[in-house]
Amino acid sequence: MNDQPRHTAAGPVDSPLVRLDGVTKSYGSGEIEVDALRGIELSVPRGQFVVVLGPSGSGKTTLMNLIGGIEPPTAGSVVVAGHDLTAADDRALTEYRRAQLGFVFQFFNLIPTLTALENVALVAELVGAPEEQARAALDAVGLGERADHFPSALSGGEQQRVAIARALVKNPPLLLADEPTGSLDLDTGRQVLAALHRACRDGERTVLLVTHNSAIAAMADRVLRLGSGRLVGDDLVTDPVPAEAVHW
Amino acid sequence: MRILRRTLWRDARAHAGQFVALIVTVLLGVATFGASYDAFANLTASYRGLYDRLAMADLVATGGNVDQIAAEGAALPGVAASTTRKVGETALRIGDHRQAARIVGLPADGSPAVNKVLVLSGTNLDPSRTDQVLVEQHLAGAVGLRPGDSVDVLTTRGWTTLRVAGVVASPEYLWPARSRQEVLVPFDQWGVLFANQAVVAELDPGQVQQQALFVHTKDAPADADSRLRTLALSLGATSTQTLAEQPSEAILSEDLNGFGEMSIAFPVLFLVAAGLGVAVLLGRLVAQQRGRIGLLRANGFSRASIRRHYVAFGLVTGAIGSVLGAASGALAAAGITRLYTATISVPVTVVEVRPLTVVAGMLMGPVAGGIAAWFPARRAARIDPAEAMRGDVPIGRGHLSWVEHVVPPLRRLPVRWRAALRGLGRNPRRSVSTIVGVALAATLVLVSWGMIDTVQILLDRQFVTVQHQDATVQLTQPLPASELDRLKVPGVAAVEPQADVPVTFVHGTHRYATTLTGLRPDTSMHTFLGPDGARLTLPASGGVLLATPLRTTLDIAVGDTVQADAGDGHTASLRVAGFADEPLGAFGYASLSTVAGLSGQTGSQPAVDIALVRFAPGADRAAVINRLTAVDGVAVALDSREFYLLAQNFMGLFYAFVGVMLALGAALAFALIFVTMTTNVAERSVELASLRTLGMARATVSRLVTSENVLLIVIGLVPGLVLGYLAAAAVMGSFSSDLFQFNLQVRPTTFVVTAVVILAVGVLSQRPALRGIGRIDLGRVTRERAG
Repeated sequence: MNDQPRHTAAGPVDSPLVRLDGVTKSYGSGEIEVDALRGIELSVPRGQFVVVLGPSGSGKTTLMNLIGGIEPPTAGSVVVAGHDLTAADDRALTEYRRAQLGFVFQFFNLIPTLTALENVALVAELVGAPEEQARAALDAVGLGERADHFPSALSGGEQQRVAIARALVKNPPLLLADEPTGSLDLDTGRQVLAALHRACRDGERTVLLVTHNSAIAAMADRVLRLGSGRLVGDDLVTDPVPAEAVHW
Repeated sequence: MRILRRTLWRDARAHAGQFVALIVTVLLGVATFGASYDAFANLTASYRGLYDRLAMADLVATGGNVDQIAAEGAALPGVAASTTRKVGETALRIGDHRQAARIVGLPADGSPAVNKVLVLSGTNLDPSRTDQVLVEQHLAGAVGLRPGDSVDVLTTRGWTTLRVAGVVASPEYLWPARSRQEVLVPFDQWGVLFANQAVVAELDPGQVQQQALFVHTKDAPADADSRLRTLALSLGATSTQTLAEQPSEAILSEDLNGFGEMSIAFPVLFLVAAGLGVAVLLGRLVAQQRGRIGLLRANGFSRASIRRHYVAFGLVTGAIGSVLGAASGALAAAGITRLYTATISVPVTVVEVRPLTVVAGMLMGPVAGGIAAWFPARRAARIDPAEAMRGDVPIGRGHLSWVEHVVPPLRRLPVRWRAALRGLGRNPRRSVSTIVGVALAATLVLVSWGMIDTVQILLDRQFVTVQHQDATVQLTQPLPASELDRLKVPGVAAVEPQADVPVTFVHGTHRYATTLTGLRPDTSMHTFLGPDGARLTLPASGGVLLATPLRTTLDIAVGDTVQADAGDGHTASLRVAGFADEPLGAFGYASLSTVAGLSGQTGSQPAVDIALVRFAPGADRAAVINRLTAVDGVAVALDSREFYLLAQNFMGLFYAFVGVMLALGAALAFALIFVTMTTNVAERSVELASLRTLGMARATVSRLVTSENVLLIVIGLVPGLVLGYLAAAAVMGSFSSDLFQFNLQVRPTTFVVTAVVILAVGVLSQRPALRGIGRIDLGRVTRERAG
């Protein structure tokens, strides 16, 4: 039980990286309108490892999409790193995602015709970074030796670490990870979590990790709980465990 | 099973754009089959119907003892009827207008046993009168002649006035060709009249030929023509002409053959394209529906039922396209037939809907769709249900592209370019489909454009490079060449004599009837070019230049001797000095003295009845023609440019035809590229959405996809342009005969234009797919498994 973290309620945060004020997101219209998120108030500072927990349909992914600038809120405002995403146009949102965000997906979404290095370098090219930076990002996730392998020759955990390297190569202040261990076994899942944790600590980067796996909350600095579109829990973890100690 | 059928329709609705594109492709294939095949059948029936009704001659023998040939020929097995007639060339005057004309002799009542005429307006000849003519409909239309009008024809008695009894159609002149060598003649420069034999007897004897004509019975033996031919030649005939060799029939047959070839080539092109499209789309559906397929298999659906389900998609697509195509084809065939017969004034139009064509068309689509669907359907049936239900999607195997292996520096290209290069090999079936579609479309476009180029270049060659006369003057009676200076009216820069004599060239067992044209050896009115482009010199005496097609027709080579038989015992042995490569006709060329000898002239100063005239630069053509016509002894002056303009006018019809071909090529390219591109984007939506989510601008993602597509199109263009060139050469070659020599000529710009057109269509056809990139739901799609 010593591994179990202690949670305390999160207080107000000064100059937050992510800030949501009264955010509501509805889908459909009229009688079939569904509120995916309702009245969310949230501030996340730089450098925090945040785990967002909740059952299916609780609004986790919608929250991620709003912060990622993929969807606009129905009401309220979303401000990330000083960018107000609420009324931004497509071009501004693309710029925002390019400069401020790294995304890690459950199913990795690597391009199968590019090697590990090229998958990372493709994104590096986007921000004008040299290929060496892509190689360094791969080294950082422990895949320097596998740089010239195509995704089909990599394990699931390795593919996900390539995806993390791809997200980090732009050196974004915010990393969004959507069920990054959802399709991995325990061992490879831990490796991926460790890589994400390092990305947070080494780069003073904020990581927002969405999962339905409550065990992962043990390694977080902060745990947000969503239920029926509302933020029903927001706890700071005073003694997070290392990724290697997480069990599920 | 009913539920499966319902999902079939829902899948079709979900991919409505691609589904409709495939249906349209099948429709076009089946419609072009129905339209071209039935037009071919309708026109054949129209011509044959008229031939039967008017007893079109199956064989015409010229020269010799025609009465004996006709009498003895009529007794041969398979000969239904025979007749004799005189045919003469002369000049025609209608008010101030003068032109050349042929007068075909008819019996007194105007109703011969062979080659009858169909009276379209007015009446047939009055048996009690010899001052009447019947005017062939094309001539009547060109110069506005109607029953009751008068015309003057040049006879040995001078200008003789004849009254127009009627306007007629003749099976011999459905396409009014002067000869096999002169198939493009402006009707206001040369036309056909029919008159009592007595009128023809008054023409210049040197311009009159005697003919025996035969028509076969329905059950004539296969060797009926050859027996008649042997008989006619043994009785002194200089030449014989079968129905297939008859100029009008030959021209119309070439057109009909074009329809016949189209009825095979077009459906093949379109159905292959549709089949590829069905295979690509179904391949995508099967990949997308792996989970569903696994579920169905796990619940007891057999492999066969899964296979049937997906094959049904191809069958339904093909069946809908076929039904619509068969209906459109039948309508188009009727329209084409009527337009065609109206354009060339065929008085009988047969339009039928042929059940066999409809049934064949209805089967084409389902067969093509079914075969194409079989392969993805078989893959679907082989899917392992357990694996499919786990949601495992086999990840595509990555590898370097072959060009990166061949050209290693390409590995240092920006990654997005490397991605585009490798995207080509990512789904080989889809890439091959796109390449084949592009190649087929490029073939269609290049064949069309190549035909335009060829005809334009060859017309220029004929009327600019080879012939240099501005006018051809026909004299009322032969004059010594030295007296042609009288034609040097203001506006005329040069005058040269020309003499024509109808001859039959004989080499061994090979014979060919044509015109031997006599010119000065140093003529400036005609340039003789060999097949290699080198200039040839007209032999001063004892030699002849033959048109290139005669090399094979007569099986003869340079240096060999050919017999020229002009009839009435006038023959000459001529050494072949070379082969002249000329696009129109298949003439022989010799010196004036050689032609004079064959015409029976013996003096040292041969007389000629034709003069070639070149105008002074900037001369008013019409004024010069008028001045020439007014010269004493001139029967008619024909402006050479009229022939050129006539040929250009015929190009109008040609352009319309080619326009349709181009539209079909573009439609084919659009349909197939649209299906493959939208499938490509749908298949990669997760990947593309991920790139968008990672901060790649929509325009950059679009460029990534576009560059891959453009690469595919460029790759497809290479075989497309080669195939297109070869196909165009084959098409033009199939049109080549002694009537025309269509050696394919393609301007370099045509290759560029074809490539640009296909690229433009390709880029246009991917626009819906690119718009789809903008509509991808990033949040939803990035949570899906790629596959």
